[in-house]
Amino acid sequence: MTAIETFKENGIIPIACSLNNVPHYWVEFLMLYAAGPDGYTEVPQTAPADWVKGLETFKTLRDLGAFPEDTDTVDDAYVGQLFKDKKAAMQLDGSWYLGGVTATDTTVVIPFPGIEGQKAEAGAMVGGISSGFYITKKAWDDPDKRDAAVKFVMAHTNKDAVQKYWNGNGQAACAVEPIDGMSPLAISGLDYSSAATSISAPTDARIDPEAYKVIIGGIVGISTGATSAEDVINEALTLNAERQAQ
Amino acid sequence: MLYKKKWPLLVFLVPGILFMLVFLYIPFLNNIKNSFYDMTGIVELPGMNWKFLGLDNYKKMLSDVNVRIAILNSVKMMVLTVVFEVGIGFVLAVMVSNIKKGQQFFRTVYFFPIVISATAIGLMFKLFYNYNGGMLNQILEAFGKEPVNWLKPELALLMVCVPTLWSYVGFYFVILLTGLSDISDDIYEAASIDGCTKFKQVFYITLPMMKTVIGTCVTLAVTGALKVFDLPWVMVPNGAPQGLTHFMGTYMYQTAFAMNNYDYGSTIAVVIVILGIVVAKAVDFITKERS
Repeated sequence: MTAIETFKENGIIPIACSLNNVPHYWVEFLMLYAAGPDGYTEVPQTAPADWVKGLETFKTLRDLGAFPEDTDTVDDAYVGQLFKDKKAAMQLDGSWYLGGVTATDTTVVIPFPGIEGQKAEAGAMVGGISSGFYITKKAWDDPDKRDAAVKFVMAHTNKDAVQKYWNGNGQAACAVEPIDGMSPLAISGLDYSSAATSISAPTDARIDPEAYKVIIGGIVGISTGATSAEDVINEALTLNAERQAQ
Repeated sequence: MLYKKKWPLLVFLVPGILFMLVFLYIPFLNNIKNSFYDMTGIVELPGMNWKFLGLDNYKKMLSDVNVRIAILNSVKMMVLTVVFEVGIGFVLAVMVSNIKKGQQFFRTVYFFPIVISATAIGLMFKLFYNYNGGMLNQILEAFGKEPVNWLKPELALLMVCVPTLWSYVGFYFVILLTGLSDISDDIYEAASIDGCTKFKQVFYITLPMMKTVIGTCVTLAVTGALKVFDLPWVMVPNGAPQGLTHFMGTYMYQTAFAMNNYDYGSTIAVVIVILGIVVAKAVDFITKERS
C-alpha cells in the first residue's frame, strides 16, 4: 500500500494492469495469497471466504488508485508499454515478459508483496511447467525402441540439458546456474524463481474454461463494486459443477 | 427468346442459392436450434449430449442488464445514424449537387472514409483517445489543461459513436447524390421562375421526390446500426468501460467467443435478427404511409 501511495504522489501509475483485458495474473496471485496453496488449489462447490477476500482486493487497489485511469478500456499491450516507458511502476506477468524489457539494469523481479492477513507463505508462486517430453505408448511397448526413447528423454531432461534449454530465459524445470552475461534483471528473475516457497498451478488448469471466464469477465465489476466477488465466484463454481457432472 | 425458356435462368440462379443455403440459411437455422440447448462446445461432438434448456436462454435475456444496455445503445445508434449519417449525407448531397465545378472532388473526399477499414479507423481513434499520450490529451496538455479520460463511463458511448457515424456519412452521401441526379433540372427551373428560393426548393421539391431513396437509406442505416460491431469492438472491447458501450453485436460476440457461452450468444444472435426484421418493417411502413 505504501508503494502505491508513494508512486501515485510522484505521478507514476503504481500497477500496470488492464482489468478489462488481462487481469488473470492478479486474479491468480490474489486468490493464492488470500487462501494459501491448499485453499487455492481446491475446487469447492461454493465461494470460499478466502477466494472472495482475494478478489475483493481488486476494489481496494482500485480505490487506492493503483491501476491506470483507463484500466477499463485499454489492453494488455498498452499497459505493458506503460511499464516499459517507466510511466507505470509495477507489472505482474509471466516469466516470458522479461525478454521484452529493455531496461535490464534498472528493473528487478521481486516476489509478490502479498496481502493483509494472507494465508500463503511469502514467496508462494503461481506457475508450473506444462510442456515437456513424452514417450508414446507405441515406443514404450516396442522392446527395440523403449531404451532409445528413455535415453532420449533423459538426455533432454537432465540438469545440463535443462540449463541449455533455459539459457537464462523464464523459469527452469530444475535448479540451474546463472549463465555468463546475464543481466541484473534476468539474475533477479532466477533468484525469485529459485526461492519460491511453493508453486501452484493456476485456477484455469482446474476449472471449466467457461467457468473461469465468468471470473475474468467479472473483475471490472468487482473492482468498481458493481458486482460482488462472492456472486461472481459462485456463478463460476456452479457452472463448473454443471460441466463436471456432464 | 431467352426468357421463354426458364431453365437457363435456373442454371445461373441455383449456384447462388445453394451457396447461401449452405453458408447462411442452414447455419442460421442451426443457430436457432442451438439457442435451446446448453452448448458445452462449439460443435456437438460424437458422444456429447447437450442438455435441452427450452426457453431458459430467452428468459435469461429478459433479466440480463447487459442486454438492456445493448438494446438501448443500439436504439440510440439507430437514431444517431438516421439524424447524422443520413441527415448530414443529405445536406452534403444537396450542397454538392448545386455546384458545377469540383463535384467529382467532393464525391471522392466524402466517400473516402468508407474505403478505410473500420478496424483501422477504430484503432486510430483509440490512439486519439488514449489517456496517456493520446492525441487529444497531448493537445490539451499543450494548452496547459489536465488530460481527460475520453473513454470514461460518462463519455465513452459518445466517443464510440463519433467515428462510427463519421465513417459512414459518405456512403449515404453517394446514394443520395445519385438520387438527386435523377430529379430533372426543369422542375427546379420552373420553381425558380415561380419565385421559389433554393431553400424552399429543398423542402417542396427535393425531399418529396427523394422519399423512396431516403427511405432506403433510413432502412439501411437502422439495420446497420443494429449490426454494428467492428468499430466499437476495436475501440472498446467487451463493452468497456464496465459494459456501458455494449451494442447487440458486440455483446453477442463477447458472450459467444470471449465467454465461450455459445448457446446464449446464439440466443442474442436470433434476437438481433428478429429486431432487425421488426425495425426494417417499421421503417418501411412509416416511409410508405407518408408516400
